[in-house]
Amino acid sequence: MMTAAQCGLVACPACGTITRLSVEQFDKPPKCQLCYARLHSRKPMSIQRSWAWLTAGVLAYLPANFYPIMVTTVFGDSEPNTIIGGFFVLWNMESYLIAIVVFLASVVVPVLKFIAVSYLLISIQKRFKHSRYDRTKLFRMTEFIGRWSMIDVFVVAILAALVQIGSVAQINPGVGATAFGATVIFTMLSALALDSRLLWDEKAGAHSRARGHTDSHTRNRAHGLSGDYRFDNRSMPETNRALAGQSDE
Amino acid sequence: MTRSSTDPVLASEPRHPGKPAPGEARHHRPVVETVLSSLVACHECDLLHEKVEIEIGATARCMRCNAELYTHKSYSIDKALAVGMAAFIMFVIANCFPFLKISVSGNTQSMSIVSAVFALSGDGLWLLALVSFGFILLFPLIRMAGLLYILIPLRCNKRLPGIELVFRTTVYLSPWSMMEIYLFGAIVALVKLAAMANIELGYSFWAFALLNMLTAASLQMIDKHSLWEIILQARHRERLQSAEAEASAGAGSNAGVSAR
Ligand SMILES: [Zn+2]
Ligand SMILES: [Zn+2]
Repeated sequence: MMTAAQCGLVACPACGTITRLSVEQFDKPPKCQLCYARLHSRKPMSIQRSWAWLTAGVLAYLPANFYPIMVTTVFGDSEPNTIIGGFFVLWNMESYLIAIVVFLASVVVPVLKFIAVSYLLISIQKRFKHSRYDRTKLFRMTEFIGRWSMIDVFVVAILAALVQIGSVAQINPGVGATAFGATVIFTMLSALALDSRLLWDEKAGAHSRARGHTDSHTRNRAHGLSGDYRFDNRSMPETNRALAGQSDE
Repeated sequence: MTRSSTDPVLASEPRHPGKPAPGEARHHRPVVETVLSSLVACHECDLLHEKVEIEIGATARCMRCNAELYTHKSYSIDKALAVGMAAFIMFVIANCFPFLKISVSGNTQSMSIVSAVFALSGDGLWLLALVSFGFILLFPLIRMAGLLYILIPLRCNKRLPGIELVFRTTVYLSPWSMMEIYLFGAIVALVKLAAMANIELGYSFWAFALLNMLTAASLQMIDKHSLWEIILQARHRERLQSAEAEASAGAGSNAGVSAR
């Protein structure tokens, strides 16, 4: 099995087109010929950037819990609500389903995301070889679910916009909401910066142009390139042309 | 002969430093050597696969990490355009009417979608308000407009500048467009208030819910790969036409010369 990087190829992050780069011009940032997106074999500084955003996210999560995300005023009595307080209010109202959704979005998901991204980053840095598949699944889940934490901020914003009934009741957003929004955005950026392809790289420098070993694989759903192909720099265009010629008939 | 969408020739634009394709010379960048269109790399683990024909509705997955490589969608530009335009109209409607109404002991208060942003900025949370404005309104709007900007000219066989930029923008903005999360946020807020006050759903709420469904449908119809494929096919057609036009023009002038 060969990765694109092992063949000196790069896939465009936007349109997916595969491009072959010439080695001697690696100093200029290459761009996709078709959609002009910047091409990188692996996201640059992936681990460092991901750690940085993750740290920022954890730091922002502390004030998000200490400061109120909103202040409820009913008949003149102001009461600050923290994230966890909002959950208890819902729980006491016996709307358990929504309470659980809020708890998941505001506590479980951010904390799990901190743990998951740190684990993935450490596993890349320590070059774990086991359970790559499961770790990729974990990455996929983190990436998908992270943005849903933003629901808390939107709930606060909607409540604050709606409940402005003069002297009867009033809800105002608190500083905690900004901190929580920052947590969500920072952890999203952390997941975006993390390059999942690093989970599969054998060596740190594997994306230069090492020759990969060949594996037998029979249960392929998509037709994978097996060791029959020679991935010299020269044979690649020929392979490509031959294939194009075949289907052109 | 109609070419299938996975035909590598259609998608292929192999270029070499010495001989750029006709009409495309200004796009040529010397850094990149060749475009290999019969291959696809897994975006999650970088494993190379050879593109194969798959039936309509099927999805090709990475054999190593099971990530989606590409799907063969039976898209039609007309349908996608119809859904995209309907979504655009719904977006306008959703922003013209009240979203939610609350009434407590005779006092009524209503909010529109954008009031949530103003509620944040009104209490000094400028940064959060700005970001929320992007997530709820601006980024979804840019994505919708971008889709129309790409599809409408294709439908009319015209070419507008900056298709590549628009395409990339719509791709990169996709995780930051959070209309569906806002909708669920509204539902959570409803449940929170239901016990204390009388809540009414405005027209805008229904329009917004419909907008979310339409957006999901349009994503189901045309994902970024098929959108890009449509663009490539249009370019291919364009190139064929220009080549034909050139040929016939050449023949015409020759005929003119010989007649004279
Ligand atoms: Zn590209
Ligand atoms: Zn893969």
